[in-house]
Amino acid sequence: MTDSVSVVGVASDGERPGAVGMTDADHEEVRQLFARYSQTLDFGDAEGFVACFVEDGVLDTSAPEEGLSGVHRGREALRRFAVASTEYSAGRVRQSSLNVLVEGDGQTARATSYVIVTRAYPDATKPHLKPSPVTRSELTTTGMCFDELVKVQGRWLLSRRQFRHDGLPEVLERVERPITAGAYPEPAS
Amino acid sequence: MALTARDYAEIKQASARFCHSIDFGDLGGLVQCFAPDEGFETPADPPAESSAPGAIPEAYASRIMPLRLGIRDGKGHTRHTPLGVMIDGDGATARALWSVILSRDLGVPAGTRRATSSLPLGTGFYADDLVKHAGRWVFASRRFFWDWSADAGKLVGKPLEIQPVDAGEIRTEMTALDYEAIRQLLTRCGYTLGFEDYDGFADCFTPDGYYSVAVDQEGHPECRLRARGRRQLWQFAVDGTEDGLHGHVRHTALSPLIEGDGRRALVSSYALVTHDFGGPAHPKQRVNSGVLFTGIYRDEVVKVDGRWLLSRRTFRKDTVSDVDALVGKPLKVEPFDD
Repeated sequence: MTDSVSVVGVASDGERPGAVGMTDADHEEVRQLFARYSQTLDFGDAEGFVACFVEDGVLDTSAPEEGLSGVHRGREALRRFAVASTEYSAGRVRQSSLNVLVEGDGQTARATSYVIVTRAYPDATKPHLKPSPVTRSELTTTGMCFDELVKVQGRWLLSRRQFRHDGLPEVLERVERPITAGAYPEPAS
Repeated sequence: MALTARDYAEIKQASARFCHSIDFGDLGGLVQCFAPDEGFETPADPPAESSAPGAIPEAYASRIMPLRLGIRDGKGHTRHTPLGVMIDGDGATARALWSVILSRDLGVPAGTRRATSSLPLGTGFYADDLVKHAGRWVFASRRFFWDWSADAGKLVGKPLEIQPVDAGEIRTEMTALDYEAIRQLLTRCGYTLGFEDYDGFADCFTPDGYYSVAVDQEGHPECRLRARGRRQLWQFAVDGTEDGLHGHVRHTALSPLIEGDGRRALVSSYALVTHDFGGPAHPKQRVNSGVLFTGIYRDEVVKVDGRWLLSRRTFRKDTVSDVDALVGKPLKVEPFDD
């Protein structure tokens, strides 16, 4: 975490005595973690991005671009990913996790979320984006994040995040199967 | 009894489970999202083995047939994605209004690239009535309407019925209810602007609230607009409606990152502004909404008598110089300089 970004804790409201599982504060902290992940990555704050993960955290993405695709394990690899991502997106890409489904025990959690990605264009390079003179952005991609999270010293962090573009076979394999939260299962060997 | 932070969290989980279930065809999961009624009993536990359609009792299947048709049509490629929500209730019942974008991916393209692209099919709203059944929140009814529909048109210019979150007394740190109240404030601000509830929009701000906007339009230099106080804010909302798009624009704030001390907070979020095309021009038209523009909100909010309000909102379109200046720097949640 960079010096400029404060670590934010969340006090619980009306927590049930003896409750086991995810508290309202846990849910909120996971949401804030996902927002911080998006904003640090989209604006090229590599250190802030790396700080969203545990020390040996893993990001596994279906992005096809060189330097972005595949598995990135550990902070140095994640840092390189963030730098490469900023070079590719030039600060014009916005990704948000929505429909976040979380299951956990208060110390570890699994989450599945939808991701929508938009991109803004600085000039009229996209003729189809001209139904109105103010239109310079488009929804480019949707996908899903499958996450494993762990609470370390009171803070929720990502231990593993998998991103898959919608429409890929791994995502379509989930059709007509019970919905579960969490990382996509490793393919059977 | 007012809704607690846990109630809000559980209602959001119920909605997320609904959307995941309908998009991926988990019919057992879908049934679990609803309250039992008319002799349709919800099983005590989700089906353990399979939720394929054949495993669902016929009574359930007929009840959710319209949803099944939606699933079949989507074939795992459609996504129902709520962008923001406002919820009120009494602890036993609740109502919720969610802005929603429907999208569809275009499948894996030919060639070696594995990335897919997606299209926004349309935008609309879920209007929910929820009840707490056996200790968990379920839908008594969930109704969807498109942004171009008559149902949406009826809401234009009308005050929003759902009440703001009462976040209680000021404490020395941010509570989960504070976060929820702030997030719903952002949704309310966008909703009232899109539905031209100008009084409701101005009421999202403190009496001396400030709003500054920097936008660019093709062929023109960056333009800055400012409003201070509720009278100017009201006029700002009136003047800001896009020509020819009255009642068809939706403003949402995504990925809100919130830092605060229980009395005051700073928020950074992504603006996604969409518009619908007024309905399909012909029955097979599938794309009925588009992105108008995107940008960044940087806000200061304060807690006044239990309610969070905007004291300062700064908006920058994603293509203006203030946004470029953020790239490559440590993320700092603070309003843009004017």
